[in-house]
Amino acid sequence: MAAEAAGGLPVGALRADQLWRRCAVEAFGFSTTDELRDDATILGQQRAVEALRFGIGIAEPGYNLFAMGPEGVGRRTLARRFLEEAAAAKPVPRDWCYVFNFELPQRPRAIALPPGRGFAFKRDMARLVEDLRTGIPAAFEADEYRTRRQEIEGELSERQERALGAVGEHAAAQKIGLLRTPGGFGFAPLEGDDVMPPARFQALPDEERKRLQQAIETLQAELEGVIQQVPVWRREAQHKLRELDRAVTRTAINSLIDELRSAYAPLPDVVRYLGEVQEDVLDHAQYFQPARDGERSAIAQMVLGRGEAAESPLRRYAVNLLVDHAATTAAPFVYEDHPTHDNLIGRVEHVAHMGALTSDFTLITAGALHRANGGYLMLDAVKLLTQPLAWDALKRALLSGEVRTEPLAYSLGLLSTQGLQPEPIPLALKVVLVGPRHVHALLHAYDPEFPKLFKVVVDFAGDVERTPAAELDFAAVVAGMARRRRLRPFEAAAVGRMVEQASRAAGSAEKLAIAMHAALGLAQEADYWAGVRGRTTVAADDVEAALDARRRRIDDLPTRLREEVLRGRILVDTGGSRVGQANGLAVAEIGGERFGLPVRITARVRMGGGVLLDIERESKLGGSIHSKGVMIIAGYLAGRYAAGGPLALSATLVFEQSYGLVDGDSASATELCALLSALADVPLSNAIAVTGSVNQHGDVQAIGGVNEKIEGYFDLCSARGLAGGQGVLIPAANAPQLMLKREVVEAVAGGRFAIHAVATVDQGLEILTGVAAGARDAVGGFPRGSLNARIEERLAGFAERARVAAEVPARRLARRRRER
Amino acid sequence: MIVRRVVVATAAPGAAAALATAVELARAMHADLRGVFVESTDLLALATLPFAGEVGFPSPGRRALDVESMQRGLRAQARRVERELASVVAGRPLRWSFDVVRSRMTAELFAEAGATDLAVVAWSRAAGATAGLARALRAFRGATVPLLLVAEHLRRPLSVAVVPPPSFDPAVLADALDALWPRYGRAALIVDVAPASARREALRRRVDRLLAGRGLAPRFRRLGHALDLPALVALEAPRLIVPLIGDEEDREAAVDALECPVLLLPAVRRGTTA
Repeated sequence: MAAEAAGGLPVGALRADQLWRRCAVEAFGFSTTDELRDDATILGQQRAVEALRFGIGIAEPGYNLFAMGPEGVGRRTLARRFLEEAAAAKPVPRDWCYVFNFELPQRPRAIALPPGRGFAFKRDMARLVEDLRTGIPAAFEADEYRTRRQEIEGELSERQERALGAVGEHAAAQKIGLLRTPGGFGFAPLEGDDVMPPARFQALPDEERKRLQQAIETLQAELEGVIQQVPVWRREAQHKLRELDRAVTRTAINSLIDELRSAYAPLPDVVRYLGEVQEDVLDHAQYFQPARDGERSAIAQMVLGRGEAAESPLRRYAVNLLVDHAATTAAPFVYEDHPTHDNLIGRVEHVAHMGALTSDFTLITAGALHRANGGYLMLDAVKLLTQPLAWDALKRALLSGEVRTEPLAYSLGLLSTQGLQPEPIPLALKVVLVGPRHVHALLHAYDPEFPKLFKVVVDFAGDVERTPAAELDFAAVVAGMARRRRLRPFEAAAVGRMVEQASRAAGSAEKLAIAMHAALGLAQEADYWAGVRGRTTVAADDVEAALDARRRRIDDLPTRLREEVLRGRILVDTGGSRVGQANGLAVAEIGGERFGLPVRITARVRMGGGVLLDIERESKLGGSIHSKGVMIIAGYLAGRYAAGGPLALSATLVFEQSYGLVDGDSASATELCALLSALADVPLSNAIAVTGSVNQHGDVQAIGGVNEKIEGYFDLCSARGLAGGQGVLIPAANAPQLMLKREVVEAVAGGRFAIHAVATVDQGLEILTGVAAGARDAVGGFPRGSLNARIEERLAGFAERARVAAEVPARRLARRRRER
Repeated sequence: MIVRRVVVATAAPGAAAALATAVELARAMHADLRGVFVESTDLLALATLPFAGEVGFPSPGRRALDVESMQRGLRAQARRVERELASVVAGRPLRWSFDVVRSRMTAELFAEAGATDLAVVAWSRAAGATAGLARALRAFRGATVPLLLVAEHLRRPLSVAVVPPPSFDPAVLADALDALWPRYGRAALIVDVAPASARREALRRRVDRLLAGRGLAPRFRRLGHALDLPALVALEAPRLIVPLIGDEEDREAAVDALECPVLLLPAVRRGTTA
């Protein structure tokens, strides 16, 4: 039976009650979870809760939060709960719009409005455009406008006609006609109303011909002077027409704009924008004129699909309501599930128009930073970091205190064409990143900006001390799950079984894993089995059924491997004994479920130069930790058995029939036992598998996956038939962690299987060999016949033979020298 | 007045009002339409002069001219006019054709015109004496077919003026108004531009009787001078205005002043009449 080692750990064969810590369900005080209040119990996260409260409460810049911890412990759920509570207590932030920038069209202007007024502003601007669409054409259709326009046009026309007419009259006075040619005007001598025929002209006296030619040249010069004046007159007329148009437009727009100005008087940005709109409309009244036949009106383009209306001139007066808080009553909480660069900072969309991609301010869409502005934003750190430039964009926004919507292609310099550069929007929000610990460590180590921006670490624990109070909290959590997920109520025994499973998941009978998604999964599956069985409540055997079914679902590989052993294709003995051969235990994981695999470990020794050959490492199948374990064994051997002389040993260690990577040091105790067996030439029992790591003093140290390893070996032994001498030798430090399955516990209780806890290699060797290990006496020797004495003698023999072998060449050399 | 063909002539592109009015009339009268581009013999004569040249418009600058370049320019203009006419006709149920003739414009038209033709001629104030209104009117004297003069500067003419010669056959006027009445007669106005006299009163009564016999009932006004016509038109906005002008010079001034197409009626009917 088990004794106690230093530190209170049990040593020796463990009792059945030491293999499984039962949950004391009778102390729960309820029969089903329906009787428990759902008070949103938080299980074992006091440290995280305190950090969350601090991080949310502090308003200084840079105090963003990083919620780290194992997956499934409720980081997002808990952070969301606290953030939503905090958001509910904060005021609704401002609405944000983008409007056309009349001075710099490529740089849309951002305007903030009180919450809910953004929509009203958008609607008011749409109405203004609609009113102008009727008001401006009506003003231009008035007789007054037409008359004044005709006056200006007529003035220009008359001016031209008068000037040309004067030239024509000068020409006519000299019997020269002014003719309109395809490219302008020409002069020709007349005969009556008609141009003089060439023959008649040639018949004229020379003097008359010269006179006509000279007169025509003079007239051409005069005409040139007139024509040069025409563009000047036309510009003057155009200026007058423009002023007339502005005056007419002004009468149509002034009252409408003034009305809006007074409505938005407390908002200077809006008032300024309205002033710019007024000026722009005065210059572009034609946008509001009805379309001519075959044209699409500007207003039609405005309401049509973007692709068709990309060129609509009236879109410049639209309002792009980027963030609308009309329907919200508190500050926002946003969880962005897909934190790409664009989803964070917004994007500028494009539409295809005439074969080219075009964009304008109405195509700017909000990102998560816009939506969460004034509140809280939660992001998954890993997702964020795996999206190109998303992390940089977030940091840039937090450091600069503004969100700048810039296409990713521009950030990367992939586009050289001119694009929109919307005005940045001031940013005031708190960001919570959720991620694993190693991501936090990496960011902290490699990104100097990270500690400045995420000063609050929220460290979520993966397990909690298994106390009665914690078990009751766990029950409350199960009750909450059942209620929220509409599962059947859980009986107290079912909750107890879940507690035990949580304890096993924590890898310790003294802990409870608080991986809530795993607990929820088990609860849902147990509920399913209760349903299959037609029950109204979930019983303990439903939980057991769920666990069994889960094991069966991933049992294919362990079963196949076991079959290979049973059929003798993989050599693992579960009985008998052999020198230099021990059963080690490995752990594999499939789909989140782990299982143990027995593996044969052998050792061979001979005289040599102190080399301990790790075949796994030599064949590049051994990991660094495994190699370290083997080197520790060498240190143990040298220190314990050859402290005063050379270690003239050459040994080989191997995981037999292992063709994959071997890592970890949990087999170092097994390897050492095999090696010492080979040195002592004493066989080891192959009925007992060994797991544990060792240090250079021969202490056996704790390893991981102890439950799975024991169960894996138990399953193999069961398949061959339990003979009573089989068992597993484990580190004493692992004994408190045991939460073994029912079959193992029953077998141990029935004396058909044994779990031995050992603190030293000597204790293990004695169990495996049945021979006393032996301790050094007062003169430093081991008792005769003890294992250690045999080992020491063997090593001394190796050393002596090595010394003799080394002396032979030295003697030959000395003889040759003498002979010379 | 029976019109079976509307012949529209122009010597340069840009006569949109003339083309549009011709198309409208052809449709209203169920007549065919013939477009004519006149390659002016005057221009060709100009090009043969030893010092022939032109001053560009609107870009000033002198260029030498020869016959070939003039012909190329005229051909290009003819193509543009044909395209303009085609675009005005497009989509309308109208039979039409287009020709290029080399002539002095009005002479050619009046010589070719048949008894059932209506000639439409574009004129320009800025075109110089050879294509101006005075020349067109002088050429029209003694013509036996109606001639519609349309100034190039008009944009969307909504009304038409019908101007008989100083001494005219009232039956010719009645024929013309009868033909135009369905389209323009809703607000017809006859204006007697001559001092009141027994002779003018008799003429008016005769016109009145003839029109009444055809069921036409225009308003009558008397005006002291032809140059006051635009003011009266602006005041009463008739669609069809008929100034009865006793003096040839006043007639020319009225045609120039009226901002609408002007249908000049011949003194007498030729051939078949309605």
